[in-house]
Amino acid sequence: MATPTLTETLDLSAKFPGAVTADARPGYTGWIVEAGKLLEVAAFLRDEMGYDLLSSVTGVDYLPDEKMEVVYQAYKTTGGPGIFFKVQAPRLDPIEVPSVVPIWPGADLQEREIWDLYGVKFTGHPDLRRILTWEGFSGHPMRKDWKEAFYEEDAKPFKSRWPEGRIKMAEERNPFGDNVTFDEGFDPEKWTSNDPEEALYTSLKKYTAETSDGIKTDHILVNMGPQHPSTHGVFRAVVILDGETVVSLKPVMGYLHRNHEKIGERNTFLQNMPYTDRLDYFNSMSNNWGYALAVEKLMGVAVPERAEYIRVIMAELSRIQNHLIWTGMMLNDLGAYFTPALYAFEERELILDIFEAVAGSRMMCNYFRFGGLARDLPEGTLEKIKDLVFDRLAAKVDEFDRLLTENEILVARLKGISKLSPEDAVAYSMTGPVLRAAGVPYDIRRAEPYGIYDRFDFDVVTQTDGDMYARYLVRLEEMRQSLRILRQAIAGLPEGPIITGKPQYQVRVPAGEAYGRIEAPKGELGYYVISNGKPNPWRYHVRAPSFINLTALEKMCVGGKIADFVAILGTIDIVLGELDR
Amino acid sequence: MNWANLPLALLYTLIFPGFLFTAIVGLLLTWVDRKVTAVVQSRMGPPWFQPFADIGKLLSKRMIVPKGVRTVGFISAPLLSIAGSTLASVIVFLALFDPSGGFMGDLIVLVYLSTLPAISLIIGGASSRSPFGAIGASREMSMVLAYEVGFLLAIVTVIVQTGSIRFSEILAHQAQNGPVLWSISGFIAAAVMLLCMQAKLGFLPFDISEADTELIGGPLAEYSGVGLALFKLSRAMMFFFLPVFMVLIFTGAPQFSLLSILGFLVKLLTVLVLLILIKITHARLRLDQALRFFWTKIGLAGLIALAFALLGL
Repeated sequence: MATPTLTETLDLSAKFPGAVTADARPGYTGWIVEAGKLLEVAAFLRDEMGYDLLSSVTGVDYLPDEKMEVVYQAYKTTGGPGIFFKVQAPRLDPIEVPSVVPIWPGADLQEREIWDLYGVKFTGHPDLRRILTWEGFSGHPMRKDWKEAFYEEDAKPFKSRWPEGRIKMAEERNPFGDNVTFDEGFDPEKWTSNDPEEALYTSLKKYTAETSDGIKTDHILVNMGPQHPSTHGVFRAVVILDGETVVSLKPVMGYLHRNHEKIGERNTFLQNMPYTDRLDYFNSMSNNWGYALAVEKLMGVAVPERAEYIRVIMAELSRIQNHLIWTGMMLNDLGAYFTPALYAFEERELILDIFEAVAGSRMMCNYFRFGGLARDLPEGTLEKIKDLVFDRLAAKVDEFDRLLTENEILVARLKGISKLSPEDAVAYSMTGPVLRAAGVPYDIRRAEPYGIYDRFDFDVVTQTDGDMYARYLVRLEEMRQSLRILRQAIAGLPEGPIITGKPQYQVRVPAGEAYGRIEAPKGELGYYVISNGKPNPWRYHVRAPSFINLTALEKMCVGGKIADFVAILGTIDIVLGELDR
Repeated sequence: MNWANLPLALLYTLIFPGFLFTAIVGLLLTWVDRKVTAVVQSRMGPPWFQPFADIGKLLSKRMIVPKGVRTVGFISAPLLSIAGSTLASVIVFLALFDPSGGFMGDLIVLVYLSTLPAISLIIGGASSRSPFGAIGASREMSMVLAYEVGFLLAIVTVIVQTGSIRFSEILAHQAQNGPVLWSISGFIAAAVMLLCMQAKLGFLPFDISEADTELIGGPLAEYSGVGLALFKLSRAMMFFFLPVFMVLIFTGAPQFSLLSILGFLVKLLTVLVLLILIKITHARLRLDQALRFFWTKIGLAGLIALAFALLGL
């Protein structure tokens, strides 16, 4: 078990004089690293200081300072607080920052995202292409001077919204056709790609179709998705097959991209809360928590006891229903004709009943507030939760265990396939059940406890094989551990207020940065929020576990069969609302 | 050839007990399939006419022939499939309703005809110019080679036991000497045949060539409208005549008494429910695993059944 270590006094500026300075802006922490020394500092942090898990890489546009910043958050898998370090570059194209992919391969997709959204060129990145927007996209949408269609103002609430007590839709004022600005000479109707697919296909390695026995075989290129029943939404993987075996694979995403983060910057702090529901729409409760955590850190507000307990209860119920659905859907991916999925849905509905009772909505809960919760448990809900936790769910988890774990076909399909070593899993920034299945006991609830998780007695579930079967076992056991936490939380639930101070629409958030991260059912969910003292966040970044866990997809799939690919994608547990943001 | 027999032959083939009869009962049985599935999954399930509505809707839709397909193969494949099912069902049901009919070796012909739907899937998939179709076709090819071995071994066991390759004689033999099923070899052969039928019907865990969640239907991926309807119809017919065939060769034909007919229906339903339960409670095997299963376990079991039959057990 990982024990959180005490904050070490690490003075990077003394170690790298001249190249590293402490970030002295008010409300900021961490270090500012010179671009030229980035790789050296990163290697030092990983190899000597033990910050082996790169949690998040993200860009920030400081338009008033004419600076573009790339922020790195690295953590130790043994637990404890992380280290923030930043690289600043002048805001003049081309903005170049060295890529940290050689140090942390897990930065791969994230750096592509920053290139796409901020236009920061990462020198040395193996495959720097747009990832969330389409190939013909003009500009980099997260830059502060980039204006979206129907642009009105930088920040909500828009002044025009209630002119004479009536809402005027943006579309009325700005009819379709006049709402977009294009580059000089760019006509969207006439735009032809210089074959963007070609770039994608060449990034799949070229294989000379020659086998050892000299017989030429054709490789089949299969587009799994975007319309495919097993990609859990509009996700696409381009797969090159040699017969049934996967030779090469590239994930293609962004079909559901809505620039969640830009919307987040336009919104006020509280307006963002319901938007977080839509990220991982199975677990709106945990999404709320991550965001509330980040903003509470900035505001320095404490959460009342009762609210903390209810938060834990909701988050763990959310985890149980996520894992139940995962088990059912995973079996569906393996072809099991909906029977396990429907068994799982039956239990999930009961949990959603509780969410509906407390939040008013089954899936889009929007239940958390900064410093507490939206409302208290209604009468009778606690009894329902008790019934579920103490009687029904434990038996159901056991039933799943009995029906599935020893199932010959399940074992044959899952065991020994897509093995991920613990070293690789950490290097690729995998988090959540996939990482724990590889044998790394890293659970943020234990590694850097948030809320009141330090009070509960539970085990961090690990397996050693790192294969798909291990991922299944980890999730099954995690449901039991969640029930264990739930029992303690219900027993300890105190009376009292559920929010600090009066509930308010407009919170005052002091300037600064904060990174709130929680152990979401799918992995580490992080929110990086920067406030400049205004009612809207200056930067709102979501570290989505579904997105970053896909970095290792190619590594996990190559050499396997096409039938395994579907199952591997299932065991990663992605959800497209969060992946494409 | 006697032209006077033509109307009767057409009647047999197209209406009763050929195409129309088998298709209607087959669709009703797919409703049974859906209802049983629904009960197991604690759902309500569709009304009885749902399969008819589905086929009707498909038939009313345009069949899209994608650009670049091999048109002849693409269009003829569903027809071949339905022809195979129709002719095979004629042989099975003539044996059931007219025990004196049939011809020498009709059992062998039946085995060939019953593989036609699988072969037409291969043709259709390979001509569809879709990678999913191509992979599905190659998977189906491997699967046919694997599961037909078990299917044949089970039939040969029955042939050895009853000493005839003529359907009506097998039935007559069982009417006198009791069902083949109640012998060691018969029992093993029946189990082998049940699992091979699971694969022949494209049911889980052996629906590898279609694999909705992997190949989005494999050979069927590019089919729409009439083409898809014919494939579905052919599947529904197989879902009727294959279980009937199995019940017939292992337990003999029913006599003309209410009890015997009811008994026959119970046996038929038992086979159907077994097939359905296997289908809805298992995940799909991978191609290599399924091939290994059929070549080693099923092949071995089939050989053991045959050996017992040769020993007279």
